[in-house]
Amino acid sequence: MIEVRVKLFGAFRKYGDGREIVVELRERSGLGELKSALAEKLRARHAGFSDGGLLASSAFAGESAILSSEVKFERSCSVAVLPPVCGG
Amino acid sequence: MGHHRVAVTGERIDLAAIAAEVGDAEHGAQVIFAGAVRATNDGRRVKAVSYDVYSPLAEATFGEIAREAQARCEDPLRIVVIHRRGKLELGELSVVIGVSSPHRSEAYEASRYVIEQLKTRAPVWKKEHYEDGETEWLRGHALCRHG
Repeated sequence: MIEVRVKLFGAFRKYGDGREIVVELRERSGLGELKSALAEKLRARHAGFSDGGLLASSAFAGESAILSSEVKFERSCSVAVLPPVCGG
Repeated sequence: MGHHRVAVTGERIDLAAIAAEVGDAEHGAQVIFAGAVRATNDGRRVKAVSYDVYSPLAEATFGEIAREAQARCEDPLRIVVIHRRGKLELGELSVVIGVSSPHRSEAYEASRYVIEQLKTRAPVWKKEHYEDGETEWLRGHALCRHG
């Protein structure tokens, strides 16, 4: 198993410690598995978690680019969960 | 030569400094766009806005957008993009985009391109603080490149 540290932004700040949530994945898991594991963790920690729609419309990214749908997590790492944006 | 600088900052944005930075003796046009916190949104009275920013990716995205703006223009541009993070009061500047070019049409076009792209692509989120004491994260544009 590997650990993926998910940094929280925007509307996700109200969950966990407001900074990050750590989820465990099997090696070579993809974004679908990451979203499922994160949703499960949020439901377990926050009774009444109801932001499934927000999670479904969110992207994941590293520090320089949004992760592609083909990404596979080979080792423990950090990513950011990015809900819909509204800068400016 | 073109010049691009982008940044996310927790400090007040200095408009005069940005105008000076994009100034160039060969450039006859400067466009400075400044976005500010306004008092009403969707009929609710706003007293402040908190900006959450994923800074490394935001700066990478601003840089990418600036390069795209330059690629759309034959003349060299000077472009500065600065975005605030943290809690801002009414009237404070949240984003400033400075562009200069030899002629005005290219400066206007590039400025508009940068702000429109920034609003839909940069990892920035706004939480509005209302006069009635409530707060709300605003919904925006999904960044998904995946299902």
